[in-house]
Order: sequence, then C-alpha cells, then structure tokens
Amino acid sequence: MKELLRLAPAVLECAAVWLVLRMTLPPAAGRGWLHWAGPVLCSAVHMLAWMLAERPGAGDVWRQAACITVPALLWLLYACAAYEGKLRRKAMVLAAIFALLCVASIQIGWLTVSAFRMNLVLGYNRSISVPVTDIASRCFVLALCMVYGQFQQTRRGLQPLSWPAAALLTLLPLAGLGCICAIVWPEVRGRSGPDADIGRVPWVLCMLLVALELVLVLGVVWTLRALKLQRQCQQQLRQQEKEHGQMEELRQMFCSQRIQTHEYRNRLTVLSMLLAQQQYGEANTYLQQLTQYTYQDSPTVQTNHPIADAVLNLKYSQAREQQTAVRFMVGDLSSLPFTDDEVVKLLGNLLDNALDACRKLDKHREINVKLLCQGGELVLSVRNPLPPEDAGLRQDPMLHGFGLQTVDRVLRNHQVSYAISREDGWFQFTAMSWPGEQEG
Amino acid sequence: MIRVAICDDEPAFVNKVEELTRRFFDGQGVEAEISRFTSPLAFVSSELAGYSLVLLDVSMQEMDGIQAAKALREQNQDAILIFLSAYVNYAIMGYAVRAFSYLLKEELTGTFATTMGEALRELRHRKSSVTVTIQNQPVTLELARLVYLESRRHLLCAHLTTGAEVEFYGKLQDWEATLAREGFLRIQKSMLVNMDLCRKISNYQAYMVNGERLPCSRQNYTQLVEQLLGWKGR
Repeated sequence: MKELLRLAPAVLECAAVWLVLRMTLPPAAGRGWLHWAGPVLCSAVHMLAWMLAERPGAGDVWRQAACITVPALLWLLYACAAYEGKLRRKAMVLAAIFALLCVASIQIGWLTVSAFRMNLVLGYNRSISVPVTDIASRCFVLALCMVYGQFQQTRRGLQPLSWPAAALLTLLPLAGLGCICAIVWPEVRGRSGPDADIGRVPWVLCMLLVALELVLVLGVVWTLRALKLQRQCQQQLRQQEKEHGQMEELRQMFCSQRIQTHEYRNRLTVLSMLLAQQQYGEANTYLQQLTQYTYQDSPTVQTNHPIADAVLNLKYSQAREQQTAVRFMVGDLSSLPFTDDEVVKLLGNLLDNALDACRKLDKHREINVKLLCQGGELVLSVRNPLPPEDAGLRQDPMLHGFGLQTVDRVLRNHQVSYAISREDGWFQFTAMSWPGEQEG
Repeated sequence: MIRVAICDDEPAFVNKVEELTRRFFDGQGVEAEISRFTSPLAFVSSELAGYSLVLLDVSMQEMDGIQAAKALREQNQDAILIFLSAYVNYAIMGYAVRAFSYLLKEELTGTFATTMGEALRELRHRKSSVTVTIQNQPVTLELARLVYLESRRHLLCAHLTTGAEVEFYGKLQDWEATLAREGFLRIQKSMLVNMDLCRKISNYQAYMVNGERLPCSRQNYTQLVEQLLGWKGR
C-alpha cells in the first residue's frame, strides 16, 4: 500500500504531462505506434526515477537529477519524435518550452507540498501524510492540466464546451469546498489562540477533493462528448450509405434508359427495313406489336436539368410502386444554382421522406412537388399528408433522422431560406431564395 | 356559378374528366356549368373570357396546349388553367401562360380531387373581398388588390395595388383574425400585409410588389419568414 502511495504522484505527473502534450501539440501523420509506446516508456522511466529518488539515503542532488532531468529529457524526446516526425531544432525548442512548463507546474506542486509538509511534520505520521500531500498536489496539477486541455479544445473549435456550461464545472468543486468548510468551521469556531490552528490537513484534503471533482467532471464531459461525436459519425456514415444508394439507383436508371433507347433504335431499323422491302403487312403487324409495349421507365418529368429529371423520375416510379400519387409543378430548372450532387441530396432526401410518410398511410397517399427557378427566384416545396403517429410529435420526423441535416447544409451553402410546417394534416417543406441572395 | 371548360382531342378522356369534374362540384355543393371541347380550334373560338376554370390537354393535333393557352390568356387573364398530359414538361409550366397546376393523365384518379380543391380555394380567394364603412357608406375592397393594412392611431389605412389609400375606422387585431386565412400576415404591431403581394421578407423588411419596404418585427422575425415561406409553398 505504501509503495502504491509513493508511486501515485509519479503516475499523476505522467498523466498531467501527457495530457498537456496531447492538448497542445498537433498530431503528426504516421508512427502511430509511437503515440502509445512513447508515453508508456516515458512513464515507466519517470516512475523508476521517482522510486530511486524516494529510496532511503538518496541525497538532494540525486533527487533533483533523477526526478526532474531524466523524465523531462525523455518527455522532450518523445514530443519531438511523435509530434514532429523527426528531430527538428524548432520542434526541440517548442518541446523544451512545453516540457519546462510541465516541470514548472510540477515544481509549483512541490512548493505547495513543502509548505504543507512543514506543518504536517509537527504532528502527523510522516509516512502517510507525505504521500497524501504528494498525491493531493499532483492531483491538483492534473486538474489544472485538464482545465488547460478544456481551454485548448475550445480554442481549436473541437466540440467546444460553451461557457455557460463550462462555468458549471466549478459548481462541484465549490460545493465540495463549501461542504468541507461547513464541517471544519464548527470545529474552529469557539477556539482561540493556538487551539484555533487546526493544521493544514483539512486544506490539503480540500485541495484533493477539488482536484478529484474537476478531474471527474471533465472526464465525464469529455466522455459524453466523445460518445456524441461517435453517434454523429455513425449518422454520417448511414447518410453516406443512403446517398450511395441513391447514386446507384440513378446509375441503374440511366443504364436502363440507355438500353431502351438502343432497343428503340433497333426496332426503328427493323421497321424501316420492312418498309424498304415493301412488306407492308409485316410492318403493320410489327408496329401493332410495338404499340402494345409499354415503356414503363420512360421519363414523365422533363425539367431541362438532366439530374433533376433523373431524380424526379426515379422517385416518381418509386411512388407509383407504392400507390402514391405525385403532382408536379416544375419549371425550367436549367438555371438551378445547385451542383449535381446537391440536387441529388436535396431532392432525394425530401422525396424519400415524403415517400416514407405516405407509406405509413392506408389511403390518400399523395405528394405535391413544386420546383420553380426563374429570374433568380427559386421556389422548392414538397407537401405530403402527415401520418397520424407523426401528428402529435413536437419535433418534425425529419429532425429525428439525418435527412434534414443534409438538406440544411445544402440550402445554407446557397443562403436559401426554408421552413417546415405541419398544419391541417399536411407536412410541408418550403425553400425560397431571391435574386442576389444565392451564393455557391 | 363557375364556368368550366374541358378541352382534349380524345372524346373518351373528355368524358372521364367531365364526370370527375361534375362529381367534384356536386360534392362541394357548387353549381358549375361545364363546356366540353374535342377540338382546340373550337375551344379558342368560344367565349374564352367567360371561363373561370380551364382543363386543357397539352398535346393535341390541331393545336398544342400551349398555343391554346396563349389564346386563352389574350382574352382571359384570371382563369385558372390546369394542364392535362401524359408527362410534365418544363416549357408548359413557364410563366408565359401562368398555369395553375398540372395533372398527369395516369394519376388523374388520385390527384384530381386535391387539385380541384386547390383550384376552388384559389377562385374563392381571388374573389374574396371585405366591406368597410367610409363616411357611413359601405365600400367593398377586393383582397387581391389590398397590399397591406396600416394602423394609424384610431384609423386603419388600406393600401391598394393602384396606389390609392382608403382610411376607415377599425382595429387591426380584429382584421388580423378575419384575414389570417386569406393570407394576411401581421409583420409588426401596426401592419398587416397580403402575403400574395409580398415578394420576400429579408433583412427585417417585407418587400411588397408595389416597391414598398415595410419594417418587420425583430422579435418574431423567424416566425414571419416561416409563415411567408409556408404560404408561398402551398
């Protein structure tokens, strides 16, 4: 137990240094093994140096050399190698500054410990109190490094914690301090003279408590943030798979239309040959056979924009398969301000959501699509009946999925305003922009 | 009574559309006079100015639907025009003929009632008006020509598309309740605008078709934009 207590400060120091390095220096590409092997090796040497310095009979000089110089140099080498790829003079200078900062923070901890120890030696068991104060000071240093890490994350824009929320981080430590004061104050009140001095142990414990609370809270916040990031990545992955599926559907549609065009040409050739050979009866019979052939995939919607045509016709055929009527009001879309990819994402997501909503209905399956672009003015509207189970939702069904995020991103990119309404049993998505307000 | 014209060079289709139209208006309790044409030439030779609603086939042999629609618009700017076709073509939906809607022939059964319902609402909306009292005389104001209502102390001022202003006594909140369903939006404490005659709301201003820019409430700005978008997209 005592050995573990002696090692704990070193472990905390290593954690603090590693945290500062990770939060401050940019990660380098490659050498992934170095990012876990380096800290492990440096930490092992750090703890070994600490144990050697703490052995009985070790002098002050040896202690200084072992506890400060060796670990600091090793961390410096790790910083240069792992974060810059190779030893560079500039990187060495930067890493030296960071290492010195880490060491300085640890020294501050030691000074604090020394100030506490002077009183502690007087009346407490040194074999317990010294490691405890060492742990308390290192824990405090680690907490400071985590707060520093939080500032760094905010500066980098990596999932920043907004300041009203960040201020809540101080509540738990303050509450802990308050509790300790509430416990200690009755003891101090009423005493006078030397009896009023309760020693520094309560304050050391306070410091330890505050540090532990900060570490715990920040640890929880960072974990939740990582989980949120993971969920967002999964959503984006699903969205990418969906968009890939849409692209594949379009590709198949194009291939199908190409085949039909080819067949159509073949049939015309056959007909022309029959007529050239004056086989009018056979030509008439062949023509009658042709007219019975239904071109199920022939385009219904023509907007003068090939990609919009492809998407609208694809979704129209899907709607027909699920007995959903579609009304189109579309104009000449040749001047649509979106890229082909954005058109697919925009129309694909909106119409997919409308089809999904109609699928939940037993009757009255209908989608109204309005897409007009003239004189710089753009109007996009998709309306569909609202399924009964979605009528009571406070949030729109689209918000639960990732479709709206993609649509929102595309429209914001072009400064197009949009609104969603759910009234009288109808869901309506409307986007509009006016001349001079679209940017690509 | 609503005068309806149906024009398609396929008699069987004219019969079908006529049946659907009659069934719709009977269900709505609206009296309708239906004129049917199997020749576009006969249609353009008829009294085009008298029709309120026209259902017109796009592809006809004697004359295509767009030409017939242009002939209609020369004599009748207000009729609601609905195209019937096997496919949706961007050229037909252009603003030149101001088509109201499009009906795919293969989707007729599923979408006819909804389209006609919207057309009927639009007809009523265009003809809707309000009566105000000015100097003890009733005056009718067509809502289609009312750009916005402005509250000036104890008076209300109706700004019309002609540029004229009509003042009468009233409270804006009373008119807001009455005109909300007709597409009027209260953009601030003292103004009620006609969303049909509002081009856009941007930079905390409502841009009206008569060139005026009216200030919007900053508190409810987001809701105002959403309501305008919802109205325009219906």
